Amino acid sequence: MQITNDISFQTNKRDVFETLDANSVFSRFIDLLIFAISIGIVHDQRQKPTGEDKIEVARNTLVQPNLKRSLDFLFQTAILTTSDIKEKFDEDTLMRLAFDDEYEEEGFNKVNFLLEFAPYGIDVIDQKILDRDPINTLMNISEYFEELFDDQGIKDEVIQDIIAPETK
Amino acid sequence: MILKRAKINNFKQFEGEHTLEFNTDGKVTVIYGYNGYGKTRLHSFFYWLLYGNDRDGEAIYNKPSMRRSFQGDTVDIRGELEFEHNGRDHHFVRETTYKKGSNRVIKSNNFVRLRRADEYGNYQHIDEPELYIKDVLPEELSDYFFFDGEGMANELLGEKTGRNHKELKEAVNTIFGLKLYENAMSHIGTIDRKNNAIYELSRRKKDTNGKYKASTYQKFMTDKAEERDTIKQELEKDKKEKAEKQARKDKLSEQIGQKDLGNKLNAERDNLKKENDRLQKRIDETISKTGKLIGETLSYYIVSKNIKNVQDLITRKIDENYVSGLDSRIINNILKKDNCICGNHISATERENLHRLLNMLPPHSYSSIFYDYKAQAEQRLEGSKEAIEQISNIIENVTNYYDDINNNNERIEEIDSELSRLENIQQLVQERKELEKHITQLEEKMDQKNAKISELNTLVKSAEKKYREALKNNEANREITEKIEFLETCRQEINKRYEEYRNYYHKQLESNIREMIDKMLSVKREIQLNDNYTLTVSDKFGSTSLSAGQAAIISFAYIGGILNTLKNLNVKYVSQAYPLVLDAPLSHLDDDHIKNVFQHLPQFADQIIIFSKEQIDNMVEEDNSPYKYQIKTNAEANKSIVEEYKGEEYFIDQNVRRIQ
Repeated sequence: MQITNDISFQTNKRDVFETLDANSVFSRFIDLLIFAISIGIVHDQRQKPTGEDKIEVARNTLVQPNLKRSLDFLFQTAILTTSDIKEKFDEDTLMRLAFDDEYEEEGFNKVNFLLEFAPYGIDVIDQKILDRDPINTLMNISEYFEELFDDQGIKDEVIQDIIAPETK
Repeated sequence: MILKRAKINNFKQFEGEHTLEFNTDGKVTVIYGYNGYGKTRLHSFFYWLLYGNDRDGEAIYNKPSMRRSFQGDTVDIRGELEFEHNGRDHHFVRETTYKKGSNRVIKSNNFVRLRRADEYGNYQHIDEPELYIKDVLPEELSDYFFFDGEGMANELLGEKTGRNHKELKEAVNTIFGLKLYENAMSHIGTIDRKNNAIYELSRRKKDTNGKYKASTYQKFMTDKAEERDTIKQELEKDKKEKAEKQARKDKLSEQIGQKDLGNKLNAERDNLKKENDRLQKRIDETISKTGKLIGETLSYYIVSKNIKNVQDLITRKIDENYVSGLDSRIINNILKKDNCICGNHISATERENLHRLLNMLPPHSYSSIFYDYKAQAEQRLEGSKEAIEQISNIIENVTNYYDDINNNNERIEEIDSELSRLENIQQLVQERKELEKHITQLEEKMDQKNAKISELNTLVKSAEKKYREALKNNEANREITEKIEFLETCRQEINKRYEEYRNYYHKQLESNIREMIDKMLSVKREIQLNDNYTLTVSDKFGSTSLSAGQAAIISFAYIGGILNTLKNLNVKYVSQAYPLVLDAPLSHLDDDHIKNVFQHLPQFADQIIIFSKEQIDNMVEEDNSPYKYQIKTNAEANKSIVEEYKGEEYFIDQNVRRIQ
C-alpha cells in the first residue's frame, strides 16, 4: 500500500483521542487508529468516517517501517476477509490489490478503505476502554482483550495454525 | 482491713439504698460507669464513711433534691461498712442529717457507731469509733488506699497539683512508720528553735551576770534561727519555682530545637516532591508503551482469526494456479519467440495468460505471497503473547508507582501539618528569653538568701556559744544542762536510726517500683526515686516525657511498690490486709497494659475494688474473677443507681443505661 499523503480521519469523537493522549496510553494517534481498525476488521464493521473533527497523522509517521508494515498487513487482511467487497471485485483483483503495492483500481483508495474500519473501533473504545485514569484504561484494555478472544474463539490453537500449517 | 459489704443510702446522687458486696476471695471487684455517671462520687463515699468529710469538698446530699425540698425538711445520709480486721468482723455506721434552713442547709446530726464481733461472734460496741477507724486506716494514708490514679501520677511525676511534695513525703514517711521518728525529733527539738522540749528546758535556766543576760542571747539566737528558717522556707519555694521555670524552658528549647527539624522536614518534603515527579515521569513513559504495543503488535493478535482465513485463501489460490513443470525461464522464452513449444504462434489472449502466469511464479508467486504474509503474521503473533504480558506488567508497575506516590503524598501531608505547628517558633523563643531572665533573677535572689542563711547560721552559732557560756558555772543550771545534753544525745540517736531506716525504705521502695514498672510497662524506662519521694522517669536518651498511659502505669507501679515494700517489712499496716480502692485512669491504657496491671496488682494488694469505664473483667486472670457492678444514671434528674452487672448491653446501647 503506497502512502503518498497524510492521513485525515473524520470523527465526532476527538475526545477519545485527546483523553487517551492525555492519560499517556495512546500518545500517538496512529496507534489508536490501528487499534480501532483492528477491532473493525475482526468484527467486519465498515462505515465511512464522518464527523466535524479531523484526526491527522503525518505521512512521515506512517512510513515508519513497523507502522507501514502494520498498515499493509491490516489492509491485506481486511480486503481479503471483509464480506461486502467481494461484490465489487473478483478474487484475483482483490489479491492484486492486497499484495501488489502499485496496483490500483479506479475509484478505490486503499488508505480510505482501511480507515472505514476505524469508526466502529472508536465507538467500542469509547464505550469499553476510555477512562481518564490511565490505570483504569489499562485494566479495560486488558479485559477487552480477554472478552474479544473469548467472543471470537481465538485461542492459542488458532495462532498455532497460522504459524505452522504445512504449505506447498 | 478487708471490706465485705457497703450500704450506701442517699449519698450524693445515689438516692435510696444500694448495696455492694465485695469480693474477698478472688480479690477483684469492678464497678463500671461511664464518664459523669458517678464513679468518682461513689469512690468518695468510702472516704466520707470512714472519716466524715468529703474528700473533694462537695456536699454529700443530693443538691437538686434539697433544692426542691421545703424549709425544715431533713435528709439522712447513711453509710454502712462491714469489714474484717485482725480476724474479727466489724460493722461501722455513719449517719449524717441535713436540714434545710431559710437560706442554707445545716448539718443537724452526725451519728457514728462501730461494733466488733468477739471470739464468740457477738458484736460489742467500740467506744470512740472514729479513733478506732483512724487507727485501723490512718486518714493521711487514705489517698494511697483510696487511690485516684491520675491525680497521683501528676503528683509523683512532679506536676503542679493541689498537693505538694511535702505532703507526699509525709504520707510515705507515715506509711513506713518514719513519721514517728520525725515527731520525736521535732518534739525534742534543738536549742536554737522555739516550742520544743530543749527550748522549754533551757527557758528554766537562770540568767548569770555578764555583759548580757543569757536570756538576751537566747532571744537573739532563737529570733535569728527563726529568721533563718523562714528564709529557708522561702528558698524552698524559690527552688520549686526555678524547677518549674527550668522545666518549661527545657520544654521550649525542645520545641525550638525543632526548628532544625523544620529544615529537615522541608528538605524531606522537597525530596518527596522530586521523587513524585520522577515517578510520574516513569508512569507516563511506562504507560505510553501500551499504544505502541497495540499499534505495532497486538493489532495482529486482534485480527488473528482473519489472518487464518487469508492464509486459507492464499493456499487455495496456489492450488488453483499451480502448473507443474513450468518455470519463468520457459515462459519468458515462449514470450520472446512468440511461438509455443508445439510450434504454433501464440495469440494475444495466450500472451496475456502467460504474462499472468509469469506473475504468479516466484518472486511474485502465490507461494511467495503466502510465505511473506505468513512470516510477518508469525513474527508479530509470537510477540503478541509477550505484549499481553507486558500490558499486565505495565499495570502492575504503574500501580506500584502510584502506591509510592500516594505514600509520598501522605508523608507530605504529615510534614505540612508538622511544619504548620512549628510556625509559631518565634513566640516560643521570646517566652524562653523571658524565662531565662526570670531564672537568672531567681538565682540571684537564691544566692542572696543562701548568703543570708549562712550569715544567720554564724550568728545563731555564735549566740548559742555565748548563751551556753553565759549559763556556765551556775550550779542551778547544771541539772538542766545535763538534761538538755541527754535530750540532744537522744535526738542524735533517733536521727541516726531515722536516717538508717529511711535510706533502707527508700532503696527498697525504689527497687520495688522499678520492678513493677519493668513488669507492667512494655517500654524500658529508667527511674529514680527522689528524696521527696517523687519519681524521675526517663528513657535511654534521657527524655522525661511520658504519655498519659505511661503515667498511669507508673502510678500503679508506685502504689504497688509501696504495698510490696510494706509486705516485706515488719511494721504496722503490713502484717494486716488492706483494700485498694482504685478510681483508675484505665482509659489511657491499651489492653496489654491493662492486662499487665491486673496480672501484677493482685499479687500484693489483698483486695482490689476498681472503678472503671473500660471493660476489664475479661482481662483479669481467672483466679481473680471479679464481682461486677454497674452505675446507671439519669443525668437530667441527677440520679444514679449502682446495681449488679448482669452483662446487659451496658457497653453497647446507651439507652439501656438510662433510668426512665
